[in-house]
Amino acid sequence: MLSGLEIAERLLDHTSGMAITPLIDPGQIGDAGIDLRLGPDFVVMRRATAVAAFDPAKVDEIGQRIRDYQDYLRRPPGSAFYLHPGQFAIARSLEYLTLPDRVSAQVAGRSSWGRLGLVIQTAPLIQPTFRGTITLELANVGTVPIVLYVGLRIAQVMFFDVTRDGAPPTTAQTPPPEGAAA
Amino acid sequence: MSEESPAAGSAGLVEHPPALSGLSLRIMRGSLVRVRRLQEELTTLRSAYAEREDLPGLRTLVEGMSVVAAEIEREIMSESRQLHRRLQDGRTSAEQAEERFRDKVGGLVNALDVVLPRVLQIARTPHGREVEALIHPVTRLVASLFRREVRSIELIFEPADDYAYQLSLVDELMRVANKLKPELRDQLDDLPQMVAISYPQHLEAETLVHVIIAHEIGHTVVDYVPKGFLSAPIVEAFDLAADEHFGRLQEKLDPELERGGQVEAGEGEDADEDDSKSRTDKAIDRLRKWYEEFACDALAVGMVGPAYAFALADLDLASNRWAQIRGGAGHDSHPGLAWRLRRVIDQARREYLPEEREDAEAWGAIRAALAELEAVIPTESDELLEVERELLDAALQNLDEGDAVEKVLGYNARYSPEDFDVDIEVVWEKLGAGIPPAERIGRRTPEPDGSRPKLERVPDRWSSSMSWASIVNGAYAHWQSGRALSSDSDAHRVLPDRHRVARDWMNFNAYVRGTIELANLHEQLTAARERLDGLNAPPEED
Repeated sequence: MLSGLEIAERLLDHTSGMAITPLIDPGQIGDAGIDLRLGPDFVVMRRATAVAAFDPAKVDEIGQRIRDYQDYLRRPPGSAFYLHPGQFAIARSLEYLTLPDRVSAQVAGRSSWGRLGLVIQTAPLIQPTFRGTITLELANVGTVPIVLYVGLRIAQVMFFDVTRDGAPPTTAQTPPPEGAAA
Repeated sequence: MSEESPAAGSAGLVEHPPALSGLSLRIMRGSLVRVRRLQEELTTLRSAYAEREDLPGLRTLVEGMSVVAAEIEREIMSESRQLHRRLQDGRTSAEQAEERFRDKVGGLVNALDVVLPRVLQIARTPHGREVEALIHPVTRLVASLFRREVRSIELIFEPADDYAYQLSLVDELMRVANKLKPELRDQLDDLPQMVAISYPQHLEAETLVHVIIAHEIGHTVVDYVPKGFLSAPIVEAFDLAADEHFGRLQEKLDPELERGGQVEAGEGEDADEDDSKSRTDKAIDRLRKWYEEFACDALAVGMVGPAYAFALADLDLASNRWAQIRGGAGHDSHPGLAWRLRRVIDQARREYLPEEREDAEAWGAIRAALAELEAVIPTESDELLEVERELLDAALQNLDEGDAVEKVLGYNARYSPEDFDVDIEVVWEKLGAGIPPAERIGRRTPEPDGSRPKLERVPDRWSSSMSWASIVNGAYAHWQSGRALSSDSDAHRVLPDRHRVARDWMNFNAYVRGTIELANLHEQLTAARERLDGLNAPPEED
């Protein structure tokens, strides 16, 4: 696992292939990871009315059904987003990550939020050569609404050197940083 | 009718509405219906925009319109009551009283009918998500430009047919307010100035082409002249040339038009002096419009750098406006694209890329792209009489040599060649490495053995946000060098790959848009950092 200083050194070295941008405050760099902030885009799930169920067996329908079930929201920096008990929302990190082919990362929630019932991430592993914002699957499993603010430190990411040859360098078109589901 | 008057409550009395008849009644009813419908729509809009913090301009516009609508309603009722009283007490003749009423209320309705359709159209149509990234940097740019003249400005991006602008929507509301009580003017004066920038709705996702907006901002500056001195250097450059060339234009215009078949033989000789002067004035008005287009191009280059040349070409390259034909559509208002582009390229090169540099890749890429663009501009030129061209050349020379662009833009609105110089290479490198160039990070020079320098501690200052102008200039350099294409061969130039080249451009625009959004977030959240970090409750224990 990379230390905070090692992360900072790699971020300042433009040949390292590793980037986290924008980094609003170097204080986000901790001893062994970086705090991620909450981005401005949210996908909020509606209460099931028109959609009976997501059935992977119905390949033709599932994409449309997911869209029918979602609302897209964008909130300005610093504004509040309410997550009610039992509510699920997809958000993304403010920061865009670029990983080289020998570094992987892992996203975790912050325990201070976890104690309030906020679950942050269900797919924590980030593969080498990843480029994009980190999708955050937010769920309030507590019993009291939680107010989140765009730009708040909400998760943390740790980095690991991949000791054997990782994935080959990507040749795909770099994905755009916009959109909730990077 | 059994409405209760607004004043009834305080007096504890029910004041019955005036019993009008005939045309006055019709006018009162018609005007109240208009106002009520307007108020209903404004209520709907206010509710629709209540949570849209990304629409400050539209929300202000709706508020301004609501204030005006409420005042109009009050005025109509007040006039109706007065008419009623006059008809009752008989001190004024019924004819006079009704005429006064019709003048007053009819005037209000007319003002509403003239002003409201346009303002309502703007209020009803919020911008799409794809242009949102531009609101923050463009609003900042406009605010920097008008800093000496206007207290605060809010920008409205309006989906429309083409790029255009409307300077002050408050002034539009004032046209109605002028017919109402003076205090309303003060209330409207307290609103931020609202500037509407229209953009082609079908090009909403063309983030790079939207650099054209800088030209429209230039128009807002030129149009601002009646109220201030902001645009004086631009306007004076033309006025000086027009004064110098007026006599010669008047002397030569008719014979030249006659030679060119624009005036029938003999008409020139017979025309009296007034006709000739009128023709000269019209020619000067037309040349002023051409000049203003050139001046707004020059301001645009001063605000966003060489990217403006590429955006102008991308927008209009396929149009038939390369050169204007006398009598053709557009000849009265715009010079041809070829002349405009030549001037824009020349200015971009002169101000931002004055020399060859071998140590700077992005610099070289932009110079090469400008040269490539210059080479494909058709050689045809606009149909102008020699005297007209002389006047225009003189005005443009005054514009270029008098530093008018520098004077108007000042330090804050100018995209400085120094920033361009530093940022362009950073943007180029980052885009090449797949990193959105949203911020400037202090670089670290490698150790003599090539290894990464070691840090003792994490630096206190990390980065600053990248400007919109730097992002779009670097992006255009990156695109035009072919580095943003999904294939590194020439395959994108052949027909079977046409889908890919279109897709590449669309993806790249989305990438640039996302980058501008990240830069905006960087800037806005850096300002709000302390407040946000104070909100990191519950207390951190990990």
